[in-house]
Amino acid sequence: MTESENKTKSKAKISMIEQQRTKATTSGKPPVYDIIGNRLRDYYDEVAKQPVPDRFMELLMQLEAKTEKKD
Amino acid sequence: MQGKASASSEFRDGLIAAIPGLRAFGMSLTARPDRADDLVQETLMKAWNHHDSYQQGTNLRAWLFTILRNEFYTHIRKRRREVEDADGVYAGAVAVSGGQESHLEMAELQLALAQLPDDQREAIVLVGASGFSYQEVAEICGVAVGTVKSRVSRARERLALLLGGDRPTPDAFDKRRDAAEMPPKP
Repeated sequence: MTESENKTKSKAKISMIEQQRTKATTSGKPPVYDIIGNRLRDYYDEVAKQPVPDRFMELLMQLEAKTEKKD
Repeated sequence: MQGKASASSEFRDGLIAAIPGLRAFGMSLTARPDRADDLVQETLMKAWNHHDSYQQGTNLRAWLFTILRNEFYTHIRKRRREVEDADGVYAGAVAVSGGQESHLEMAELQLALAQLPDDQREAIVLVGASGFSYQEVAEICGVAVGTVKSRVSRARERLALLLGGDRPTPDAFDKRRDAAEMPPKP
């Protein structure tokens, strides 16, 4: 793709995004922001839904054992 | 003695309950699952050793997220070059997603997040996904609520540009890197 073709393509994409950004939905926010919000939550939940890895349970057991020893 | 034991187990239970969210937040900061878990490990140890400075009945989750955030900025964020290694970030994100097509969007988001300034990234992740209120996020980040709001706003705009336009791919980054004549990866 030539540089001028790139520039034209970028300009077209930017104006599309501008339209999306200024278009309001029932929530009053541009639809692209809803998509971003959903993706952020999906991304976060993908990790947060995983069971707690053993290493952390073991760590906490070790820390507790150490504390109990001191007392 | 009884009171102390139950407060201790309540504290430990609170830590366990917070781990999934801490891992998710850590992942958004480090972009690598192994580093995220190392960060959580450090956070748990620090939290345990500073149990005394936690006031029982106050917001334990926010306290833990604050510790993790501080750990990140103090010890990990120094390694600037590695955080900006786009290929590594992409590879890490794809690894986490398991390569499933439905998760490719998440890999793209990870890559886009990695391109945000730290303050915008943490703001939009904490506000948009972690379940904390604006006030809580402000406390975790040590700034005013208004500051959090403007960071979220800027992050949204930037993500909209990054995700809505040219989708970042390793190829695109190679081309840009070649164009910028960056030194080859070690």
